[in-house]
Amino acid sequence: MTALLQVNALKTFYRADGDYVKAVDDVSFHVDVGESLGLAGESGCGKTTVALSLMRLLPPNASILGGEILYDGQDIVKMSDRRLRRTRWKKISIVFQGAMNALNPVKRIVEQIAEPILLHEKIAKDEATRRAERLVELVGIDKSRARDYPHEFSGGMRQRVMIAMALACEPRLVILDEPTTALDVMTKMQIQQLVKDIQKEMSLSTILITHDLSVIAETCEKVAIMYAGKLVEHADVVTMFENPLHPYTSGLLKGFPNIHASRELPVSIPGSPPDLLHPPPGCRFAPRCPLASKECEVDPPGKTVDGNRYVACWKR
Amino acid sequence: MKPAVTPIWRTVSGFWNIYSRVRKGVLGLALVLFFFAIAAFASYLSPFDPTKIDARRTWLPPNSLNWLGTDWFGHDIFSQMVYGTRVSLLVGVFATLISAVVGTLIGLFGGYYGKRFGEFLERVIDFFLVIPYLPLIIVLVAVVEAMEIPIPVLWVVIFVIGITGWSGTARVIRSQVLTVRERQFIDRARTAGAGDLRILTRHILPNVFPLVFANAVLTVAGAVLSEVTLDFLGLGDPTTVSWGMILHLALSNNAVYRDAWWWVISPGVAIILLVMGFTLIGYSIEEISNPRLRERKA
Repeated sequence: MTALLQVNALKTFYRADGDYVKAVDDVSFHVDVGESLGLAGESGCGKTTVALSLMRLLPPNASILGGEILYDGQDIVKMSDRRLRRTRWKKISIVFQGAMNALNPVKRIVEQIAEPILLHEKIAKDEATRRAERLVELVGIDKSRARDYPHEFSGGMRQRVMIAMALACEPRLVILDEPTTALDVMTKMQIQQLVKDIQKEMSLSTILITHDLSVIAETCEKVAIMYAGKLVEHADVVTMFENPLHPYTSGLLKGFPNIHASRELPVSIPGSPPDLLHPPPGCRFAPRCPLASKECEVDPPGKTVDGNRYVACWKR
Repeated sequence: MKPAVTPIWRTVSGFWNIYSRVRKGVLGLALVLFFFAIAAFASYLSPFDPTKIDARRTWLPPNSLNWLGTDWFGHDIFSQMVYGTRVSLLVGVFATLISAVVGTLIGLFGGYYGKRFGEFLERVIDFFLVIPYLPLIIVLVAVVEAMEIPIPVLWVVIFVIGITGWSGTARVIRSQVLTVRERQFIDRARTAGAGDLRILTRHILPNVFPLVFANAVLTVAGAVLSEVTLDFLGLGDPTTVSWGMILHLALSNNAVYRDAWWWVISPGVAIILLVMGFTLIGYSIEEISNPRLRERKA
């Protein structure tokens, strides 16, 4: 399989008080055509910054200081603004965190879905509207609701609208930033199923960003774990859940109960993530790591294990 | 199945359902509609030509022929009041249109473009907010009239009131734009490829428009008062019949000294009622759109 998206040594820093917050530091991963990648980690580990870097939507105090983001062989980091505007949404689109706020309260949802179509394709307004209506149906909302306003929708339906909007220009890669956070369990399941179905139907590649490993287990094929701005592990979902290599991954997996195992209480990882303004030298997880030793004072190089697994740890 | 398009009357009747619950708003609307009706049917309502001078009928208190009395020149004050309504509403509405457009544009740009340009517009708004507006209007009217541009004095007055009265609207709009600009759907629209102009007109403007409207209604009251003041001070067009001009003539002919109370009271009461009408509507809209001000129903 060929990589649709290849991220190499991405560095995205935030400027703060004349110093840099190393939010994403030397992160590399790839997404193949039709593949679903789950990007997981604690709050503040740089997941969303990765997503925003991929779309070049970073806030003004953040910048990509190194690395490349190759989409279909073309580097998004170096793209001109004009090219970028044509790539965004048309090739890569995003479902933003918190669908409640990503809809304009005074416009009908069908107009909002049609907007990117009109902006990217030279077609008549009623044709765009028809396509938007089909998208509304595709995400499981009755067509008669297409002309309603966002406040007339429930949270789950608004999330569906956001997904429809992301699909408007038939992109090949969709980034979903915490798509099921703040939804109740049933709605969460439905949205996950919807994403899976659409992915299969449209042979879409997805990057799902979440702090909830169970969501990834349900919906993704590959998983990448981030810790304090670094990628610590990248593997197949099944392999990683059965045999985590990085101690942080093991810690995360111990953090939630397993219904098949005996009734152990979930164990949390002691300590808290480092300050990214002054990360510890060497492995960033070392201060909290049960396996840490002398060699962890040096940054561990990433290595490939078993052919297609990636892990950044001295102990493996 | 819902109809494809929500008919406009349903939106209007929906708004009326909410609006009609605010009693003072209904009163304000009634007052304003009353004056609009008078202005529309002025020629049918006034028994005399308001500019007709009748030397035999001067200084008359209200009587069966001249319902609101006559002045020193023998003008019928009732007819003058009726025609004066037109001037007040004309100035009120058109000056407000100018202020609303200018204020909204400056507020939109000032709020949207954060950096130097926004800062600059912010200072311009501050400048117009603190400047004592009446002397400014007086000077501007005098200057524009002296330029002898061939347009009626009334339109000069409208123009000057319009371009001096926008600062309040601009400030309110600007602060609202500052919050709407940070909402996520703006980022989403930009990501989808919308440019600045499209974001301003399609996404931000619809969100601040109710505020533009509520502010405009309040601005009308100010504009009406400004026009009356200018006429009263003798800066208006002496040939038009307006409420301010009636007061101006009353002052220069010592109406109060000569106990001609009817010459002063009629325009005074009319001004109060019209301004009150617009203010009540404005406050009611504000109350409806701001739930914190909404009266609790027992």
